[in-house]
Amino acid sequence: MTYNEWRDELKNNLLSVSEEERKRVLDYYAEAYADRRDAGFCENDIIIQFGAPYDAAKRILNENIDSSQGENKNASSELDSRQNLGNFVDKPQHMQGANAVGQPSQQKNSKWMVIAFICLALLFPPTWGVIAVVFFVIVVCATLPIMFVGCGAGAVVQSFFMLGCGEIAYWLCLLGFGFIAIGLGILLFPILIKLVKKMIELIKKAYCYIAAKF
Amino acid sequence: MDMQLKKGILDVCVLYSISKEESYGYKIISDLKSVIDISESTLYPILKRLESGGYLTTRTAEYCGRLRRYYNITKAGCEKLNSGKNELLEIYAIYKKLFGGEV
Repeated sequence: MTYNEWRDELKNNLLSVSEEERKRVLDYYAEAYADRRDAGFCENDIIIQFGAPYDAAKRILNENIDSSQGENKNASSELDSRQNLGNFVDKPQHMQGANAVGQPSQQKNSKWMVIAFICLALLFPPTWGVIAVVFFVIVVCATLPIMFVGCGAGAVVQSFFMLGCGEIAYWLCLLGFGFIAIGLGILLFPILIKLVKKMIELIKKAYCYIAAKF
Repeated sequence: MDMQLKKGILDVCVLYSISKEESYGYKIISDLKSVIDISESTLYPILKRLESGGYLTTRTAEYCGRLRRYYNITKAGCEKLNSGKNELLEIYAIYKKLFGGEV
């Protein structure tokens, strides 16, 4: 697990705290990571020293419960539910530490819970709508840049035929349009990939939230 | 160690570390490494609790092109540290009465 993955997992486990608090926690760990790097530790050692993101999140949530006297009392149990539904399963062996030692049966159960949750999610009619939308967006995102680049390349090639016919104005216009289309296609590609990633992340969060409610 | 007991002792340790001079997360852990087992994940909630209790203040300053949060002890923090020291002495006295020189 890299530091970025560790941080993302911690972030996902802290959805129930305020954005300000979440930012503060992430800044704290970014500072701790940088300080440990300066002290000569490698990324892997630092992650081991930080412990499992789940444990770090649980400590923060428990502290919030203590300080707010129950205001955030559902947060820790919400984390437990979400943890059972995915994060714990994804955790590498070396990251499981004391948590895994204390909860071996929970780890096995969590895998079954994930399978059960996926089956339940498939029975939930809006899931098929979500799958259709995701499929449609992926197809559009894959097709759009290819179309732009293809049309652009076609226009550039055609422009040279115009040049052969002595149509300098048409040649320049087509050449310009061709390069603009190719440029747009190249620019669109990373933007659309980011968009798809964001959409999948949002869907994942939404399902984690629904799962935590049960 | 019992969690509640450890929590109280950790508060005293962190306050002690900050009482010597302005400090930051990694330095506090390094200072306390030989005294008690403490990690970043343990330290964060302690610092937050002490700050919201008014026992320490924080400031952010730039260090080597990045931001670092520094912690300073307050007057209330010094008082809490002193009462924590007295409580530890009481525990030590009880231990001595019970077990004498045994370790």
